[in-house]
Amino acid sequence: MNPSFDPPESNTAEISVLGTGGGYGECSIIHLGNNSWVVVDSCIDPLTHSSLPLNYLKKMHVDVANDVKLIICTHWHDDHILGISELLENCKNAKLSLAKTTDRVKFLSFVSLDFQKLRSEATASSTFEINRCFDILKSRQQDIISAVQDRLLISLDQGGNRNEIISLSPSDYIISEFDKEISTLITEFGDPNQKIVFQTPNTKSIVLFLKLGNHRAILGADLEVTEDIRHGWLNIINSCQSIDKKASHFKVPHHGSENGYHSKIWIELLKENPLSTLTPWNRNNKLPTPDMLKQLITHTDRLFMTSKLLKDKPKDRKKEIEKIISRQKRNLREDRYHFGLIQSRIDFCDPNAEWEVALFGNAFHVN
Amino acid sequence: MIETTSYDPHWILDNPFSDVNYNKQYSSHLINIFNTQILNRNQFSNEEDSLLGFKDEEDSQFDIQNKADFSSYPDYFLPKFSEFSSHKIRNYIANSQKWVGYITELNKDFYTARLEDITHGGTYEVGDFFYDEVSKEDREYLKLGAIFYWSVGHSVRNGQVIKESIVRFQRLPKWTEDDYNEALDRANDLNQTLKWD
Repeated sequence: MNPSFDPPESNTAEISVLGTGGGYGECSIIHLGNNSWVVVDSCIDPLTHSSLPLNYLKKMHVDVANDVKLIICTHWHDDHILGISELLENCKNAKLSLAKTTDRVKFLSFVSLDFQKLRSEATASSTFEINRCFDILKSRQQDIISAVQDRLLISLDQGGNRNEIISLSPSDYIISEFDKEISTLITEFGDPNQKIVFQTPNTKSIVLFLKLGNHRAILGADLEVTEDIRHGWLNIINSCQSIDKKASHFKVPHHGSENGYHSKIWIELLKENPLSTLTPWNRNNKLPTPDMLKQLITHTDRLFMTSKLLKDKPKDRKKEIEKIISRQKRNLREDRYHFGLIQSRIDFCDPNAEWEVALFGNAFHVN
Repeated sequence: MIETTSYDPHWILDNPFSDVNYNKQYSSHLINIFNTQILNRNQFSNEEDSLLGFKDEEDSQFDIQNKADFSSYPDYFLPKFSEFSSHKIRNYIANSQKWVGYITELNKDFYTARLEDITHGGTYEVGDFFYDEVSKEDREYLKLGAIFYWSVGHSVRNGQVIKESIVRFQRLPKWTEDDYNEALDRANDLNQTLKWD
């Protein structure tokens, strides 16, 4: 299929996965049919600081104020949340869904305390975005939808088909653990000269199950596999009640990392040879590793990535400045921006339809 | 040879707003002179040599933080343009680039930081900095998440060009009780007004 910014037909579902190479985030844009859109996470163009999912929807002439029904923040790591407040601001009828928090007062105290550091540039990007979202929701008097395991987040009747999005995580155990995490973070925020560096695992990520007519899709967020079956992928496999059919579309979790992989996911949750999408991670330890890529292509010959892994290199700058830096032998590398979009569409009224894929930017077919 | 300079702590180097405010009023050249004078103020014990001639550091802080109207500054604080005769402009910084960064990893001999180019903007960078580049006064700030400013450029002192790289950690005052209360009031307000289903 040729890349196109033509909006999908009313009976066509779309899942578009958008990546930036890692440092500026990733997101998924979903068309549930009949001009109803959902955006999962957000990311930005570092040169313009604009929200990329918003740019994409506007390019397709989507009436974002009315037609975006829901924005889901899978977890509040920087690579999933940048630009989400700008997105929410423009999507005036959209609700916001976040992972459930039991101790709301503590959570709100933490994000407000961190927001207070804005004047010293010490506010974390994630708490800044969440705070702005809260201000917007407050002014609109809109509800926040709490995502928990087996929770229906949105359901739309589309020409006799019920198209739905259900959260498969976080588990009850993780929700109680998150309260403890906030208790720890809240004790660390106090220095106005210091940012909180989130080193928390991805256990609180919201994995999504999409029912699109007869077709199913799973968006894996950053959820990892753990030995403890009270959370992670094994918990979903063992405990989720909402998965009625195997999925034909899979967004590979956590940039294709080893800790997001388990053969059971591919055997028990996915159809044979599913359409699979992956956003790479170009910072620090690059993901996916060559070994993991080899592993993934044993499960599918339709694996797509939003961009290739890039070699580290310094940023272009004035020769005079570069000379000084190179004399210091400082290891300085650019967090490169590498845009790519995998657009996949399917006729949800046709039970035998197959996903059609179009690639934009640096996206490519791996195998 | 690169000179990595360690200076006494001075508020203006640590205050990210200093350049922003002055840019509106003066050329970047003048600002650079201003900053260089402060950096080297110990060398200018004779007021005749100094363009600024602060009474003392406390006075300078008071004036800059509390007075928005530059026309009301006392004579001793602001340089007069007539004083900028060529023989006095002998210390300045040229071709500089600045970043604001925060520490993301503390390693054995160096720390790693995520850097935002505040001179040109654009993509972020990740850099490694050796601990011995950090001045003694700043070492207590070496913590995960600590914010610092890094500037690189040529400084000209008495006609001599020196390549410089300066790392300065942000050192804003600790929060007051009011700061905490303001944040917690906001949290209470959000808790009462936001609707969670």
